[in-house]
Amino acid sequence: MSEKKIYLDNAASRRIKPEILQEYFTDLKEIYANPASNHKAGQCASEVISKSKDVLAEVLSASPEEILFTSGGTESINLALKGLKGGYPRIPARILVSKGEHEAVRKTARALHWETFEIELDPATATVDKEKLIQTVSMNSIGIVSLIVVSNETGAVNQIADLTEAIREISPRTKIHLDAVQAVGKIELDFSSLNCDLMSISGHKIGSPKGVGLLLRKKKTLLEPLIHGGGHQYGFRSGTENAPLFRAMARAAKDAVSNLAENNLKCRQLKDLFLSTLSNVTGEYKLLSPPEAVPQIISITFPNLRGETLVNATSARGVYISHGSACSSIHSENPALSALGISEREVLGAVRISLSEDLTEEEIILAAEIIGGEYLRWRL
Amino acid sequence: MSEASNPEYKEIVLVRIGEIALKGSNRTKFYQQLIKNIRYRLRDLGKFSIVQSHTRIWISAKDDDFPGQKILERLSSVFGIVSASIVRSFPAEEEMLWLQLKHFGESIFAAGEEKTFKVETRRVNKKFPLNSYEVSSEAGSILLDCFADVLSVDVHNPDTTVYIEIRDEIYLFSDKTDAPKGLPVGISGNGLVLLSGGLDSPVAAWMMASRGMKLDMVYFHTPPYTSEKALDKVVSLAAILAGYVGNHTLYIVNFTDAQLELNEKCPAEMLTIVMRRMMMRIASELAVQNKAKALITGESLGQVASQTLEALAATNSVTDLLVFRPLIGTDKDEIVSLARKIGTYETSIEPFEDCCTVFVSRHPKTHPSLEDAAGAERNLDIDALVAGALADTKVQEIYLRDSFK
Repeated sequence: MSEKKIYLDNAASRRIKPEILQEYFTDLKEIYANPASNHKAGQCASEVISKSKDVLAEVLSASPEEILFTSGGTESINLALKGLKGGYPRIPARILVSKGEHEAVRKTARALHWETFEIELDPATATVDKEKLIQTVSMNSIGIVSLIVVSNETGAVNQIADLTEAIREISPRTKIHLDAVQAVGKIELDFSSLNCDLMSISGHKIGSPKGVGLLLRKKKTLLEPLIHGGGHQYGFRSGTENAPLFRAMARAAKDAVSNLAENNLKCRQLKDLFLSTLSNVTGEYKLLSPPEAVPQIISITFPNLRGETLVNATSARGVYISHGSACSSIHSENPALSALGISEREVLGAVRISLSEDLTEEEIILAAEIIGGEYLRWRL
Repeated sequence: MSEASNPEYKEIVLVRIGEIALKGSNRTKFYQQLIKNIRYRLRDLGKFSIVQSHTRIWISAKDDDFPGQKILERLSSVFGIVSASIVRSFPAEEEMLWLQLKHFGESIFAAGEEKTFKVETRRVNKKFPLNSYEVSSEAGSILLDCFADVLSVDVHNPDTTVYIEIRDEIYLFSDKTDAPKGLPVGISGNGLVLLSGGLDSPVAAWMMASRGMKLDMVYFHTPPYTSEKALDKVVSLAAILAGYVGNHTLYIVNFTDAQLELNEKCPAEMLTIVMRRMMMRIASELAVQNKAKALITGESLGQVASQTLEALAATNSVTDLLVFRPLIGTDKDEIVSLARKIGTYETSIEPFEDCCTVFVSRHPKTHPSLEDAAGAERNLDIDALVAGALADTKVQEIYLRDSFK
């Protein structure tokens, strides 16, 4: 079908912002020297990196030495959890995560071969149950805690400052990692005041090219590197540094953070418009995202159609959304949604609509009509 | 050794044939089909002379270039062939043999890599001055002299066997590339495979092709309940199978309307059986239209609820065609290992839903009678559903070349 394409999968990946792309192209052409080289061209690349770090430090309220560049969110998470295990060989071999974590955290935690505690979510808010968290940390000596800041499934926002403070109070030596991949540009993040040791961030979720992410590391936090080599980035992450890509990442982060309030307001309006338009087409859906969720991520479930089928059907109409539940199985394979205490059927019927501020009201209305219409057409 | 001292030889491919050699008066037909299949497979690689002599086929180049390895690769998926080797041929003279042997040794025994070997000689040409035992032992000692640093003899379980065949020419070779045996495709009539994206049906297709059957395939697509990715996966499987069965047609039936009607009008516990009966009916029509004499499915007795004896009987009863189920007595492990061998495993396990998983009852009837099945279809206009699905069928040609990497 030759209809207009409407991309509502911005939590999966975003379009690279055109001005960032243009600068990136130019940089690729011109800044090719190795930043570790001592000649002028190398120095120039090195300066680009150092300036990029300054920008990132400013927008994330960190200091430049606290910034490590990685290949993306998944690598950051792996470096954080495995790196802590190696960096502190004597901490208790127990990791605590929430049931709402992304696969990258769940699978990396499993790969530590430690005892794992999974904290329930409070179904009312879709956020980490603080009581249960405190109870678990009090009763067990925990080595590492890893928590998601903004849920990639529902957009629910964990009260991270509150949670990390509580953990620190009970167990000051427990290392804390935050998965902030979906948080940058959606909520205020102040690394310096957050009571954590490490924080993972991804570039392409905020409009940079893919292949770059950050691991923010509080000073004195020890990490065993995953990648050994020439000792780049204090030896924590070897590999020739990619000045053009780091600058693109810095610029994307700066754009995202400095326009945060404005973008959120726009997305809030788009979200309301989406839901009201959808309700006009069909009332047969249930909103899974809590009211306090970031407006960019809308999780809804339909009772009589699999999310996957709806994704296929709307895709054929040019509307791109994603489904909550893993395909090919009649069993739900989405722990983050299952943790909301909803039925397996509701998990299977879930879809995620994720917005960006670039969308227009016309697009949102059309998309809601198509999603609702396709549901009514194919529901069983 | 300098270039100039390399002795001249001709490279040819020797193809060994299995079961066909046992056939009686029909043998010529089998050979002709096999040679035709081989010729088609090699046609983009150059011009070749393909000659049958006794139980072997010899392939030689008509022009200078002879892509021996490529030919072996292609032959490794031709049914009717047992194995093939690249052979060096040269005049049947004793001194020439020793010279060639040394040169051949240089190409197969790399420095530093220790190997055991033996020599096997067949002397058909009785005019050759040494008997086969003498040739083997002399050849063995020449190779040992030349490659003392890496070679040792092991006549029971050698890493490498050097074969010397003395006919009007001498043929010298070592490795054999295995091929899948069976009968040449095209010798046993036409069949239509019900291909899903799963593990079983591609293996079933391969098995019937190995008995010489020419195949076309049908896939039931249920958009949007099944994704375009699921369809792509089936097309990929059909392309892999083309490597064995050659060019064929994939019929992509849009099954959505029929499926929705079934879903609405049939009892839930009978849905899977009725769905399979509908698929059989549609496939039968396609088979008749395309002169296929049999349907092929990947069913294996008792594997799932719809593959119990009663369920199979209920599915079978809607068609007059022969239905071949080559996997009926195999278990999943055997199917998996065959799928790995024929190269469909990796594609089959890609996780995309098919309609069987979307439209599935939690408690399907496992032992339906024919009356149950007919009763469940009471409210359906079967002929209209079949006609509707056939009218909404896409025809996609799948080519042998799609299987080439």
